[in-house]
Order: sequence, then C-alpha cells, then structure tokens
Amino acid sequence: MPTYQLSVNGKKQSVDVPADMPLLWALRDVLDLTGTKYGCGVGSCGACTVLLNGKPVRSCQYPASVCAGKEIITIEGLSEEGTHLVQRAWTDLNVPQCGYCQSGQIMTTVALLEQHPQPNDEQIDEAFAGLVCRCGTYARIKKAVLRAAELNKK
Amino acid sequence: MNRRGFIQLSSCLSGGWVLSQLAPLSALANDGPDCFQPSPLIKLCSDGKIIVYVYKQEMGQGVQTSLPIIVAEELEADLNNVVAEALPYAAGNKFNYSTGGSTSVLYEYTPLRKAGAAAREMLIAAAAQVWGISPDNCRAQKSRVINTITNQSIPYKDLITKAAALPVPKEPALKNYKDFSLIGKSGIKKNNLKDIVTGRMKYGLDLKLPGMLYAVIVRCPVMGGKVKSWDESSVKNIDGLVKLFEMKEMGAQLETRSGVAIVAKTRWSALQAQRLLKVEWIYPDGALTRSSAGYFSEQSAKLKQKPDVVYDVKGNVIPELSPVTKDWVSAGYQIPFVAHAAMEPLNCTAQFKDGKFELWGGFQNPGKTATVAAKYFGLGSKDVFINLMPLGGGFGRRLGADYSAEAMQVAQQIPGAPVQLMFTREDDMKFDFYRPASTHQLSAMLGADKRPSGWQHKIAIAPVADFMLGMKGSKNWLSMEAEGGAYGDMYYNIPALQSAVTRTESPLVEGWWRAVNFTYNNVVIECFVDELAKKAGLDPVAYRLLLLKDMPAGKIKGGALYEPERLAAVVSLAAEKMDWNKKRPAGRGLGIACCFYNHAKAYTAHAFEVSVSKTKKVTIHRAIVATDVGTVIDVDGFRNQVEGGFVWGLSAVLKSEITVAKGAVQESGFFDFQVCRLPDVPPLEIHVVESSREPGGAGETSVPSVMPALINAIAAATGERIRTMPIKNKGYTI
Ligand code: FES
Ligand code: FES
Repeated sequence: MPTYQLSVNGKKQSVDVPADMPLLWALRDVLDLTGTKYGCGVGSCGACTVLLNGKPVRSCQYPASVCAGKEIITIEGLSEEGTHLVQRAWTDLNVPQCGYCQSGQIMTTVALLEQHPQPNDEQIDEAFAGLVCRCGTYARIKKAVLRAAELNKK
Repeated sequence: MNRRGFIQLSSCLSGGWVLSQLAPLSALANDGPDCFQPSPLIKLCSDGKIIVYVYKQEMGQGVQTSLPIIVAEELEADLNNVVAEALPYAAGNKFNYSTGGSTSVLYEYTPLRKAGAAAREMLIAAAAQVWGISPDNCRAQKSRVINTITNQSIPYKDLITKAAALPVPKEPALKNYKDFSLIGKSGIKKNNLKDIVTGRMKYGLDLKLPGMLYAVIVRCPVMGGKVKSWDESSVKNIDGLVKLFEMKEMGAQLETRSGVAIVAKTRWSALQAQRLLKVEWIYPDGALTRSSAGYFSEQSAKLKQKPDVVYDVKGNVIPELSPVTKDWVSAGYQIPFVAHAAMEPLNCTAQFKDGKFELWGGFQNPGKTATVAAKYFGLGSKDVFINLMPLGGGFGRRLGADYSAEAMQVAQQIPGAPVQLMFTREDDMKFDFYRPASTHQLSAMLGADKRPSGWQHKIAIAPVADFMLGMKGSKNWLSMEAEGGAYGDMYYNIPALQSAVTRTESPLVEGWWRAVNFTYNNVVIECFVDELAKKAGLDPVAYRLLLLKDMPAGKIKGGALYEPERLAAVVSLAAEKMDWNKKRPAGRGLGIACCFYNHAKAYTAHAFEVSVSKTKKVTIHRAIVATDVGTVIDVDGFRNQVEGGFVWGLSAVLKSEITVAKGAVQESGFFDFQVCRLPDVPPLEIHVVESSREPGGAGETSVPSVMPALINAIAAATGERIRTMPIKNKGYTI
C-alpha cells in the first residue's frame, strides 16, 4: 500500500492507504480523528466538511492521495477547549441538537468567515446550501454565523 | 459491590465483558463512605460531584439536559456540580429505556422530582444533626444546607456520610412552581455542547475497538426477496476481505432482509466490495409489479369497498349515506411514504464471545434488542450486554432492532471479534421503516349553524404495528392507525362522527416516524376543516374557534385528558400574533392549523403568511407557532425542538417522498430524498404559553400543524387546494 504524507491540523502524519481511499476514512479510521462525520459519502450532505488549503471541501469526495502535501484542518484543529470564535458562537447560541452534522456546519462557517468576514444573507445561503441538518437547527446555525462574524470584528 | 464496579459499568466504551459486574441497582445504594445514592438515579460524592443517571436515550432532544434539571431543581443542586451520565442498560432493572412518543419529560417529571426531593431532605436532616437543630430551621440552596438561625452553611459534599446513614423519605415535599429556580428558566445550555463543538462527542459510528472488523450488507432491494447466489469473483481484486456470507431474514418485528454480508479488515474494503459484489435474487411472486403509484390506486379502490373497521359512531348522520345536498363536502387526500434519514446512518458494533453478545451503538429501545433480537439467537436478555451511546438522530427509526439484530447475526459468524456493521446512506434510505403511505376520504355535511352536522373519515393504510410489533392482522392496531383525530380523539365538537379504516398491503416495511399518525390524520383533518370553512363562508380561524366552542373537556380514547380551551387559546394566540384580521397586499394568503398531540399533552398552532409566484415559487413572509405544553423544563432546549419540528414538517410538506418502483425504493440519498436546507427555512416566531401545569412533551408535538397550515396558506393565496404531499409534486418550490 502506498504511503502518503498528510498535514492534519498542523501535524505531519504518514498514512498507508489505498490511493482511492477518501480522505474522510483516512481521517476517521486511520488517524482516529472522528470529529469529521460520514453522512452520505457522495457529497450531498456536508457532514464531512474539512478545510483543504483553507477551502471547505467534502472529505468523502477527495482521495487521501490527492490531499498529500496540502494543509488539512478538521474540527479537532480549531481548539480543544471550544474557544475558537466559531465554537464560541455555537456555544452562545446553543446550536446543536443531536450534534452529528455540526462539525461540518462549523467548518463551513470557519471557511465562510475566512472568505467573507462579514457575510451577507446570500453568502450564507450559498455556503450552506449543500449541508443537511436533519434535526433542523438551521435558524440557530445562521444566527451563530452572524454571531461569529460579530466576534470576528473584535 | 464497590463504587469502581459501577463506574466501569457507566463507561460506554468499556471493552471486554462487564456482565459479571452487573448487580441489582439496590445494591448500589449507600455503596461507599464517600458517595451515596439515595436513588438509583442520583449519586452525590464527597468531591462535590452530583451524578444524575439518565436512562432515556439522548438523540438531540436534550434528555441529558432536561432530566437532570428536574432532579437538580428539587435537590437544590448547583447545576455546575451536576453531571449527566447514561445509565447502563441492565436487563431486568425497572427502568423504561425506550425513548419515543415525546414522553421522557412527561413520564419522568414526577418520579425525578421525588428522587431529588428525597435526597434534599436527607441532606437537610444530616445538616440538622450536625447543628443539633430541627430540619425546619434549615434550607437548601446551590448544593449547600443553610442554617436559617445562624446563617452558617455546609456544602453537600461534606454531608455525604451522614446523609447516607439516614432512611430515604417515601413522600418528600415537592417545591412549588413559583419557587423554581432552574425549571422554566432560560440560559441553560446543552450538557454536551463542548463535546459537540470540539468534535469529541462519540456516536456509534465513531467507535473503534481493538481488532475490530467492518461489515456492510448487500440487501435484497425487494421485500421478501431471497439470495439465490453471489459471485465472489466480482470482488476478488479487493484486499482485506475477511468473509462473505448469506444473511437470513429474521422474521416478524425485526423485518431484516435476505442479503450477503461482507466483512473486511477496513471499512473502505467493505464499502468497495459492496459496490462491486454481484448478487442474484429470487423475488416473491408479484413483488416486482409493486409501485407507490399502484399502491395509492389500491388504497383508493379499497376506500370504496367495505371497511375493515368502522367505529366511533356517534350520532346518526353519516354523510356518505346521506343524500348529497349542497352542504355536503367530500375530499380525498394522499400522504406518501417518507424516510427518517437521521444524519448518522444506522450502525451497530457487536461482539460474540462465549455464547453471549456485547453491543455498542445508539438505540431508542435497547430493550427490544435485548429481548426480540436475543430471542432469535435462542438467548435471553441477560446474554446481551448493551453499551449505550448518543444517537446522531433518532426520529423513531432507532426504535427498531433490525440493525442490531443484523450486527448480531454478522458477529456470530466471526466469534471473538468485534464487528462494526454500518449502513451506507443509501442503505439507510433504502432499508428504512418508513412512515406509512395512506389515502383518506373525508366527508361532512354542514348543519344550520355551519358546523358539520355529520363527519366521516375513511382511511386506507397498512398499520405500523404489522412491522414494528409483528401484529399483522390485528384489528385493534389497525384502528389505532386513526389516532390524531379519527380514533375517538376528534378534537372538534362534531355531533355525528364515524371513522373507518381499511387495511392495505404495504410494499414497504413501516415504522414510527416523528409525530407518527398525526402526520397524516391530523394533517388531512386540518386541511379539510379549511375546506369546510370555505364552504361555510367563514374565516378559518373563526371557524376553528366555532368548532371548539362548547367542546367539553374530558378523557379521550386512549386515556389522555383533552382541554379544548387550551387548543382554542393557541389558535387565538397564533392568529393574534399574525395580525390575522389585518388587510394584506393582494396575492398574500394566510393559513392556520392546530394539533392536540394527545400522546404528550401538547397544544400547538402554526400560522403562515405566503405569496406564490406564477411559477409556483412559494415565499413565506411570516411563520408563527404558538404552543402550550404545560411546564417547560429547559426553555432554550424546548425552543430548539420547536424550531426543529418546524423544519421537519416543512421538509415533509414541501419535498420529502419515498417512491417505489418494481418493488424497490427509488431514493438513495439526500440528492433525491429531499429535505430542507438552510436557505429554504424562513425565520419562525415562537410563542410559548407560560404554564405551571404538569409538563407535556416536546420532540414531536410541533411537527403536525406545520404541514396543513402551509397548505392552507397556499390555498388562500392561490385558490388551489392541494390534497397530496409533498407539494413539489404539484409544481411548488420554495
Ligand atoms: S459525507 Fe461527504 S458530503 Fe455527505
Ligand atoms: S444537529 Fe442533528 S443533524 Fe444537525
């Protein structure tokens, strides 16, 4: 099996995986970073969203081999104590229900604020159009995005 | 039994066998010098920690937050000291772990208050002993007992040993509603928030055990079909496969399919093999001709025949048999199959060792796995140890034991090794226990006062109990499918009523889906009432209030107390907040609907203001909910449920549908089974009625009225009355 050098949350790690194994499974099953979730495996729910060189991507759609040498950030890379401003906004708004989709929602927000520090409604809609929260926490997600943008100003 | 034994039991990731450490919960009481357990559900320790054990399963509805609040309120505990832990599943203990029907708070409220109050009285008595004063001169606050004479105080943690030696009071005094400091107060956060936002929360699919193998199943796409053969050469290029074997159907209540299991060393190997494996099936006669369209035609045809059950006859005017006068209204409705589609696809990890099973995962009803599934293997519930993990969504789907039974069947083939069975999203979508499809015919005549003088509701449906409970053929369960307004639980004042239910043969396995029967019966009734209002020439709000007028309060069939004035109050409140009688710009339509969710003593009304473009794009200008569930425990958690219920209902009315062709489910993911996404969802204005009544439930109660309220608003805006769901099939989008 080939070996790839992955840079995850600032740490270089080598993984031995088949070239076509999605990054999602390399993160979860090989590197034990289970904060990134499987929701569909076909790019239609966003539960597996991570940052690849700062861009939000569906880790179920990217073979691990393609990610070698790029910077990968997962939910575990934000802060262990939940102090990242997006995590703080999520805590303030008490967003989650079951929580399963929330890593993807949070990583999407981190990327959105990177691109648009003060996003407008259209930008929020566009960023989240590909994500599902079956518990239906959308209203809170939106409020938390705006709260994080507020915190971003300070 | 010592304290360590219990702590080991509480850990949901404890590897290996812990069965031997199970002991009756009574043995855990007073189990050490530095902790005491005045109830099996509360443990106070000298390090200041107060553990509340929760046996209801956390699936996002917040039981790990709301139930401990109830205990802490009576215990006068500082919420910062309180830790919620899942009570390990132990066969034979008296607790009802089954989590569904929005009943956790409803049923646990009083027992948990009593448990908390008993502990508080013991701590007060212990402190009174220390001070040599009467307990009457003590009070408790924020995990301390205060001497009201001297103002001295002792923290609970220093009273553990003394309190443990005291008898547990049988009838402790409960607090008054007005003295509550936690219940009904805002600002409380979910107990597991930090684990969620840091990605540390472990769901079933996140479990990894030493030596664990991964399994997926290729299941027969058609109900009742069987494996004929499979071609191993189709997967010969895949590394790491451990074993392929046939999966047997496991019969009534479990309803698993015939299929081929693939066990591999890595998940990726198993998933690839699942895609490539060629399997031949034998289908039962006629199965390939089944379709959802055909099923609806069968239901419509059956509705014209003699019903299987006719009941609830009240009065003597049966509209169908009456001469068709100009005051007669009749309308047919169709409600589709829908999937649960929880975000965490089904999964279960199982290990078979020394003739026993250990399981890990998220279960709404672990008891079903421990009894029904165990029985399939000739085992008893003591032979199955279940590690309970949080659920990435339940919605009724995880009340089943099919996925755990399958995991057990797989693990039994590979003794010793833990095996994680995972459903892909496609498996989860195609092998759900679906919300039943049903067809309804509602007929009514208007009397002189414009109220219906007679009302008939005919339903064609296959009862969920056929599948979930193995009750095929039961007339009782068939008639219970009419709950939500047609099962002796009609909530409007109508003098002559008749309900009739006819059984049809479902092409799909069915299950309980968030808000169950109310998502069809209540929905069609609330649409039909609007049709009657139109016929009567009355406003839909005024008409509802007219139908609720003079309706006596009382017990309905099933035993729940119905208080019509509470339903009228939420209808009025929603209308008032909507400025219902204010003139709107042309093209705007208002819609209202209400629901008495009698399983959980909840009253809800939704109201919408919409406009609809020429291309049938619906714009929701305002959405309002007014709800009365009695005492609310966790205010913000409750609002989150109401928001989630709104989205759940919107998805169902707008876009969600499972269809069948050639006997098989056609949808396979979120791209074809559509649910609302963030841009689809308008802001919801929530109005909660303040109440000190005993609490009702939250999870399902605000789902049903969303759907008819939107349909009614669209009818008001466009003049088009929609009688099928989802409305995307009529060309509407959001
Ligand atoms: S799991 Fe990757 S988009 Fe759904
Ligand atoms: S919180 Fe449960 S799916 Fe989003």
